[in-house]
This record gives sequence, structure tokens and C-alpha cells, in this order.
Amino acid sequence: MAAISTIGRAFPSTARIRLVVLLGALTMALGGVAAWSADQESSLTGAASAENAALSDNARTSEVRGQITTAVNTVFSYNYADVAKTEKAAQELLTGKAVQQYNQLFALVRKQAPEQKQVLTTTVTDSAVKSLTGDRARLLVFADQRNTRTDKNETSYSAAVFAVDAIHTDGKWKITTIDTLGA
Amino acid sequence: MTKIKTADPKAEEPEAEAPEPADDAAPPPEPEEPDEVEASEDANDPEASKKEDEPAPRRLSKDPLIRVASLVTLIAAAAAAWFGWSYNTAAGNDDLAYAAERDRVLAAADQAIVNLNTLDHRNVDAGLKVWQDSTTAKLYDEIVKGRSRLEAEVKKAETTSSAKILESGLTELDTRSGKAAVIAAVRITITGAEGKSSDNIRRFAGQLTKTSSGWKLSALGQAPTGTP
Repeated sequence: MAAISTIGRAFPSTARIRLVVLLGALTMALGGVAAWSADQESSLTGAASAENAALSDNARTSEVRGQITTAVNTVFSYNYADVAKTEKAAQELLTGKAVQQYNQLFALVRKQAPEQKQVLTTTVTDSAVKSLTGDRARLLVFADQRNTRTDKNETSYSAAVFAVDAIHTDGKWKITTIDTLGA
Repeated sequence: MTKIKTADPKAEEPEAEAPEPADDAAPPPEPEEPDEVEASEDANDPEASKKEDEPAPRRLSKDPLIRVASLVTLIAAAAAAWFGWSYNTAAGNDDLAYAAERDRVLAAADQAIVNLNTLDHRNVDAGLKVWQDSTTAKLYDEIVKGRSRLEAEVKKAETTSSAKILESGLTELDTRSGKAAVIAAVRITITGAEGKSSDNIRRFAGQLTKTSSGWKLSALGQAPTGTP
């Protein structure tokens, strides 16, 4: 009986060790799966690209593109005969740093326009939404400018390229920064 | 072992069922266990000794170490299930895949535009090889066609050009058909024979096509100005 008893104990203890080893191996395998999945998941959802909704959120991309195109067309066009229109648009569509930047860019136009009877028309020809995160966006804008001096009946053309930062407030997109790209 | 059991088959049962001396005192400890019945039925079976393994794990369910180990395994299983599920959800999210592809395409476009605006008169051959590698379709054909003329011109003028992307963005991306459109503001620096360099900013519009070796430019040109 004593011998059986010892052997009997030996059996469960072997099984016990086996079971512990099995559970340990299973734990490591499952832990590995969990770690790998977590890593893969975070590389997908945590990537910078995931934060940026440009193009991937088609509706919002079109919205900001459309509104900024209109804003640039309006704010950067100037008719000596209807100065109020541009000034009003600038007040509504520019905010933050862009206000001061715009005033600098347009100082000369404001001065010359009345005496030269100047009509400046800006038309956005192409634009790309570079980033779109929540209420903020950055766009690259290509625009053409037609500048007519009505007093001399002269027209000149120029091409412009710049980037704008935009913010969505009060239900619409406004320009916060005008980046002339070092030009 | 087998001998002992054959000699005294009845002795085997309490031993197998109740390895703990304490249980010995009050048998049967778990009469509801079906294994017990089985064991007594097969008591005379020569293979009965193998059954010794079976009751053991059942007892192990009360072992604290086994319980802890089981719990840890269970937690690991839960973690694996949770993260596995969230990974599966993320991997199946088309928006995430699309956004990642968008950034890859833009990076490829930037590099290709820089490549096509970079050429060193001292190393025209290698430069034009890079041009060809960055392009596909019609644009590739144009480069191959105009290669010798361009080579002669650059060598004669002894110019070196380099480019830097100031800002760029995709205007279209269709991952399914493998087509994309890009616009970019690029500063191009051209250094002449006398070492004088001049900078200018150019506006480029291009088309990209997905090929077996990645996204390549299939068209590139300066954005037209609005001169009527």
C-alpha cells in the first residue's frame, strides 16, 4: 500500500507538471497573439495617415475644397468700383494670422486700385487638400490672376501658388494662414 | 506497479480516486464522478492501470497552482481575443487602408517629381535612368524618345538642376483602378556652367499610375497659366 501510495502520488504530480507546462505554453502563445494583434492594430489606427481624412472622407474634402476655392476667388479679387465687396468677404472669410497677412499682401492693391482703376480677378485653377483633421485643413492652391488697368486698358496675367490653413468655425471654412511658400 | 495492482485490484481504486490521505478517511469523496464507476468496472482490465492518469487531472482542478495557471491562460485568451478582434476590425477598415495608401502615393509622387527635375550634366546617363525608373506609360515613352536630344542639350549647357517639393497634395486617388492625380509647388534650382544658380518656383500637375513596381508618374507638366 505504501508503495502504491507513492506511485499514485507520482502520477498526479507528473500530470500536474504537464498541465502547468501546457497552460504556460498556451498562455505564451495567446499572449503572443495578443501582442502581435495589438501592435498591428496600433500601426493601422495610430498612423499619421489614419488621422488625416483628406480624400478618404470624400464629402468633407470636397466641402473644404469648394469653400476655400470660393473664399480665395472672392478675397483675392478686387474691383476699384466695388471695394466693399472684397473687404466684406475678407472680414468674413479670414481669421487669425491670415487677416494681417492679407492686409500686407493687399496694401499695394488697395493703394493703387482707385488711381489705376484696377480690376484684379483671381481664379483658383486647382487645389489639393493636403491634410484634413477634425476642424483643420491645409490646402495647396494654384490660382491665376488677371490684372486689368482700366485707365490704360492694359491687362496682365500672373500665376500664383500658395498654401492655406483653414479652420471650420460657425459652420464654414475660414482661412487662418496664407503660406506663400517662401516666394 | 502492474503486479501490485493485479494482485490487489481493489487497492487501486481508492488510490486512484483519492491520492490524498485525508480523502482516504472518508471515501468516496466524489461519488458523482462518472470516472469512478468506469474505473471499478474496468478494475480487472489489464489496461486499467492506464486509467490512473485520468482521475488525476480532475483532482488537479482543486490545485491552487493549476487554478492560477488556468486563470492566467484564460486572461491571455481574453486578451488575444480582444486585440485580435480589434486588429481584425482595423484591418477591415477601408478608410484606414485608403488613407495609408494615399500617403504612400503622395510620397511616391513627391520623389518622382523631384527625380524628373534633377539632372547633373556630369552624370546625365544615370540621371536619365532615374527619370525612366520614375515614370510609366506615355511619359516614359516621351523620355525615351527625347533622351538623346536632352542628353546633348544638358551636356552642352553644362547645367545641373535640383528640386525641392515645397508643398504637394493629391487631388484624386482611385486605389481600385490604380490612378491618382497630384499637384505640387516645386522649387527648382538650376546651376549653370559658371556656377551661378537660380531658383524658381514652378507649379506641377501630374498623373500617377500603379504599376507592378509601385506608383509611377504617367504624366507631368507645369500647370497651365490662365493666359487666354
